[in-house]
Amino acid sequence: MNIKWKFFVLLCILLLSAGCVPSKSVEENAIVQISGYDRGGDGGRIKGTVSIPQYGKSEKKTAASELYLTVDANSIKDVEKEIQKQSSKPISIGKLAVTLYSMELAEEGISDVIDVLSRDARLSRNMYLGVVDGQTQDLIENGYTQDETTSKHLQGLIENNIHHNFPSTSLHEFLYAYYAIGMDPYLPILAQKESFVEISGIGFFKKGKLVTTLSDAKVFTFKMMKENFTRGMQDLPFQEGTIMLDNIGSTVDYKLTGTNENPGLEINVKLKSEVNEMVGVEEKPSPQLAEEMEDAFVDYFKTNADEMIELFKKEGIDPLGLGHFAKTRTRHFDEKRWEDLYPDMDIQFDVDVEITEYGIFS
Amino acid sequence: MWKWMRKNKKKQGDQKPSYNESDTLPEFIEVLGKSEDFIQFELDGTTRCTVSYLKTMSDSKILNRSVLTTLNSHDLHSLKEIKETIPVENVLITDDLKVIQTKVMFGYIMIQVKSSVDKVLLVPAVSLESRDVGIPEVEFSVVGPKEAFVETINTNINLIRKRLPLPQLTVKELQVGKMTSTRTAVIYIDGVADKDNVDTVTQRLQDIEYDQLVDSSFITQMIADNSNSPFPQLLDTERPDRVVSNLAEGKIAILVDGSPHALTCPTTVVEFFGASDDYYLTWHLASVFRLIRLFAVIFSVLSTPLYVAVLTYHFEMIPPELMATIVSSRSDIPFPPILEVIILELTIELLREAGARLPTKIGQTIGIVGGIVIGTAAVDAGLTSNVLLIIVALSALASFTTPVYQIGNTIRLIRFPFLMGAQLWGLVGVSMCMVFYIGHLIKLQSIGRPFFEPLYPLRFKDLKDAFIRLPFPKQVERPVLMRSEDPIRMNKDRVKAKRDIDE
Repeated sequence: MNIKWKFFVLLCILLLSAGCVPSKSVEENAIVQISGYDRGGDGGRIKGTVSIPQYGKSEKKTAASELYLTVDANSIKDVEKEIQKQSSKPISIGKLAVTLYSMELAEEGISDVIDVLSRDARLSRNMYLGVVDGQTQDLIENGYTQDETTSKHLQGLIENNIHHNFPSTSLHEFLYAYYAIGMDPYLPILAQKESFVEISGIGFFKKGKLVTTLSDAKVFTFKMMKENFTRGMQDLPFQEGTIMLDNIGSTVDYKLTGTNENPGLEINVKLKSEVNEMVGVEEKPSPQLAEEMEDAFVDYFKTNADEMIELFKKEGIDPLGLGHFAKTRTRHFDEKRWEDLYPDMDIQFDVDVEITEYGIFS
Repeated sequence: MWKWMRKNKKKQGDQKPSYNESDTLPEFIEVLGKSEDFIQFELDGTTRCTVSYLKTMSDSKILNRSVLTTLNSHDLHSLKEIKETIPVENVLITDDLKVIQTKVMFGYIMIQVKSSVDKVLLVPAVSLESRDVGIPEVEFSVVGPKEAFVETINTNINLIRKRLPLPQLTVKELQVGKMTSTRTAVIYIDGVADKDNVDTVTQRLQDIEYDQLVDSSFITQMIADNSNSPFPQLLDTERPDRVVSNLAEGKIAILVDGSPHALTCPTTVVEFFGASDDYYLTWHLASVFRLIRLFAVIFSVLSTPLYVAVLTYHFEMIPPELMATIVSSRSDIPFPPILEVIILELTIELLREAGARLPTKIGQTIGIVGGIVIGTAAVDAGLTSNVLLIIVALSALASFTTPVYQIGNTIRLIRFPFLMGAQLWGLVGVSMCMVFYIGHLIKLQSIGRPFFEPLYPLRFKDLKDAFIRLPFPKQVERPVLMRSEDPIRMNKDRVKAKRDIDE
């Protein structure tokens, strides 16, 4: 009994003294929700910009205000330290939702930045990364809507596009592609137009360096080759006008062909869609017309995909993860050999477009 | 406590009980004579004898109509003759001082004659004041019987017996309490209840060493396997229907004279969240309501600790949509979340205590004053945030959903250790507290049977009447927990037999 009591008292002391963690409640923290990194000026190697939402005291949710802080620093951690100097409240990065890099920085390589992100346990793996065509500072500091903070706006922008034309992206997926064998990451490219931001394309990385980009118009084709999805739209000039294809279900299937010595790949896409809008097309909608449209789309997708594959081969990148796929199908997969073979590999793309409906009125 | 009692009992085992025993009959009469309501007079008529009784305990109708008329109209000389003549049942002649004392104290009329000094005649004329059987107030139910136990044990046993007309329904009576000698009944169905359980209960009741036993809750605390636990280990109920269905399951009921609550054991923690209403509704509805109650309890215990933990340590968990609301409602408050929560929780506890101690009508006013005025005023004054006010109010509301009052009290209190844990170590602290409580529950026993039963030890058979209630035809067996001597309730085949055509 005596021993038990002593043990109990000791345990209490131990726990209570270990429990004296200095703590701050939510409203006493500066919660960083978006951060951007540019090439630094004179002050340091990089320039970091963060935005901290300022919540009003009143319950009325009027205009969302944000505090922008910009510092020059030598490393990512240094940015946090420097920002601490300018902030009246302790900086908390646990709710960071979007991290942006300027195109310049991305072209130089963001490997070291990615390394920091992948190590910090406070950060969410659902965070979105993005490359900015221009200065991130300008993009962050430009208020976009009255009732949303920039971070929420950008987060919503990327999230919404993932559900449509843009292939899925997040810190987790970036890191997966970054560290996986036979796979290279990609990120959305954000560009600032006068008063709004748009996703202007997709940037492909090779070991942390931005090597090439694709414009927004080709993103649908890329997504089609990358993953199964059920939404998204693609326009195409047809006859004298334009037709718009609404995806209602696309599935992609990779197949390893050829021999072990000389492997090849087949990419098969099956796309079900509807066409609701035909601007400037004189002909009446009919099954024959649908077939013509299907052929037009198949042609379009095939040319685009073949161009894209050629580009990937030329740059030596593999954002589709074909090597990663082959690795799962090959015993004693040799990464080096695959990389050597990749530029001349026979990669076949085939797509089957099926237009199932024209809308409810016809 | 029970063990401690036993230990103490061994030490003072041979100490003579100092209260209700006198050495001789005259001494006893002398002691009683000091009270004004003890009446003693001699009859000089045809029968010469001394009649003594407690005026406040005896029924004057029996005395006047049966006893005095008989004594005055007959010429009787010995106790035996009197016994044969008096038209009252169960008249007895005894010289056992112990019996005389207890009987007289309960309102028997004592008749002495000169010829025999030691022997007396005892005529039962007990007058018991009791309340009428009323509707259950603590465990109210919309459907189902509306009878509740009262303070007299005889009425209570009657309420049980009329629902269980079985010769096997056994009532064992004990007297507990040195001063109060409270009548305590152990009720079980012989052949259904486990002998071991019955023996354990009786032995523990006999071993109780205490001067007064005013209510059945004394027994709950004294015979509990672990009386330091905040969890009641005997289920107390004021509904005879609940006791009867428990008895039929093979449980044991304890009734205490003077208490309108019966205790049933062995019990499990999930039983405290089951209402008798559950059996009066169809099984799917009952199951959903049970689950709602269970979630309400979990919510009630964990909501404020989670609020403290999340706001102090893990604000990453707050959804972005809620961030603005929480932060702006928190920004005026000068206290850290823990103080805010403690202030509000204590306010609610104060309201509850005040409401419970006051008469019903004033109690309602207090509830309204407290709930509306203090609540909004506290928010306006910037003492608590709106969000927390909602959480605390909801958790208080949720804690009222428990059908058994005793466990409701437990739930009121066990959230405070969780709050401490949440403040000290965040979610880690909350889980540490949880581990501690679950460990405690696993160790707990109810008269030697596991208290956390259908979960630990995991018994699938008993799960069909735990978190959900399956339909009656599925409840073919009595719960394993009871170790019933006759585990089968009904014939399974006949239950399942289809009756397509009405013959």
